[in-house]
Amino acid sequence: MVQEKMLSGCAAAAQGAKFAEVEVICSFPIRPYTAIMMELSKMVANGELDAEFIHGEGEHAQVSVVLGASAAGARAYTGSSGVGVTYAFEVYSPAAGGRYPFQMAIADRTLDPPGDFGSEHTDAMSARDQGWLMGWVATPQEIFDNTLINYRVGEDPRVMLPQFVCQDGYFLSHIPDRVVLPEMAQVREFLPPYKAPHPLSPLCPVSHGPQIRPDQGAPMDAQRAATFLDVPEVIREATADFNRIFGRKYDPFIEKYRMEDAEYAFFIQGAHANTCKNAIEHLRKQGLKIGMVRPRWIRPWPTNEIAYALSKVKAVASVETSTSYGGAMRGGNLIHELRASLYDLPKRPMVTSFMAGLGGDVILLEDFYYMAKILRQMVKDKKTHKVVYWVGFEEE
Amino acid sequence: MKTKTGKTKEKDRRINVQGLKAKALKAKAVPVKIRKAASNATPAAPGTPIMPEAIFGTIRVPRDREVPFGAITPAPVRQQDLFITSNWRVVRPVIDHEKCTRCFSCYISCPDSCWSFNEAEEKMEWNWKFCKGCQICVHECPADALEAVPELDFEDGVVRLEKPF
Repeated sequence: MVQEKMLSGCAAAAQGAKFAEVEVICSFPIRPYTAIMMELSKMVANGELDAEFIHGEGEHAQVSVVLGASAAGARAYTGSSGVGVTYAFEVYSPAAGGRYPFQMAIADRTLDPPGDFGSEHTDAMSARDQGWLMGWVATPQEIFDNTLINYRVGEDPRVMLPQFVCQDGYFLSHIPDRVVLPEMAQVREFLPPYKAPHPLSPLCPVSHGPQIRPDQGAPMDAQRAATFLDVPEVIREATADFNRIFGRKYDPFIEKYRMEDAEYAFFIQGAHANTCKNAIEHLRKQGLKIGMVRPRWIRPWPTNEIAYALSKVKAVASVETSTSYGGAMRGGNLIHELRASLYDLPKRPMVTSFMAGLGGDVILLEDFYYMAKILRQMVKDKKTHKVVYWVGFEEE
Repeated sequence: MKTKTGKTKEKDRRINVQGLKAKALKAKAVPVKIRKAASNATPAAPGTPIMPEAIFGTIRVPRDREVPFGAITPAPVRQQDLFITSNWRVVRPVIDHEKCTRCFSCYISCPDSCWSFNEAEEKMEWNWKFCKGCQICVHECPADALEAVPELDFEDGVVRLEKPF
């Protein structure tokens, strides 16, 4: 029976794992993601979900446990936040290199500078180059849906990669919204049971994770890179199937909002996109043709789709919710790849970035108005005065 | 390891060994094959003329350099020939069979089990595929039958860049 419930991001992620019928779960507490494990442990205790629920002794152990479970052929699920995400770092690369398609939910939390607990995307963004699939969501409904879509894409025989399914801590993880829960039959049609190609089994012994020679490292990297060339097609197929079965309207790679006639655009990931949409409505009432592009995937980066969506605008504001100290633009991470994606366009838009929503800060409507003002000034002056603005810390 | 609480049936709490067994039995004994390198760029979506995904080019790994999928290999094997680990050896131990007393000191001291006893010929045998040239055997040999010789002195020496193997 299709149900509609008020669920927070964490509860929605837990429901996603339940509907995906995960077989092994490994937990370790750290807020804000920990609410996912609270929900899941309840489900396992009630007999709603038939899964092994294991307490890890830390995040490194958590990811190692689900890696082992995945190697044995189970659909496995784990998650973390902030410094927990970075504590498990060592296991990320072998998980992707060994091709174990388990899932890790991340509810963002600021890395310790020291001891902030608000939402900031730097924790997960630090792990973006570890060979995992990765993406941010904007609503609890989307986190439920992306949990299923990520398992489907990750477990595809053409892909076989682990997935980071990221949501903003608190803004999304702890604020309830309406979530439509589908029928089990729909989910089973969309997501077939996981079949490991070479599971660890006493009847057909194999070695996982052996030492390879240095001259085998390069071809292995090339093979992994080639896999990522195939992923976009799998994402397209999976999203089309998902939209058909569940009656949704997701664009596979990016969400476009009011981009039909836009001259200016915000480029933003995660739940702040919801505030951004409101700001756009107000700005449009004042006659500014502005829209929004929100990437649903960070890995693989939707280069082509972003370039196409932003090919007609005059200026883009990249709203950075993570830090890249000393990076090429001295600000966030997104602008690097955004600018690189737009470089080959015949007519490139101007691109600048705004550091906002860091350390759990709320991005206010006024902040978006400020960004729009700067964009307009840039176009008027025909000059990118600065590539990074620290919202709230700029001289007027 | 299940952390179920409340009034769950005892049966459900235990790890389902029978189920795992049945699953393992169902898992076909598929020999590990070297998987083909993934097939390159996806075609550009219709209506996206600006930057086709062909911009990423293609990646072709030659057949003879392909690594098994996820580096997953058959097991158990006595020796894993897919992953030979000795290509950074600088010296190798050379044995003088006349001096060798078959005391097995080299066999015992080798951290990589590279010495074995050939019973038919009654002499020690060295495994070039996994010896890293650490020279522990050379130092341990009580009969002074082993000598560390630079790899460069050999035609098939592994440090010869023009012919690594």
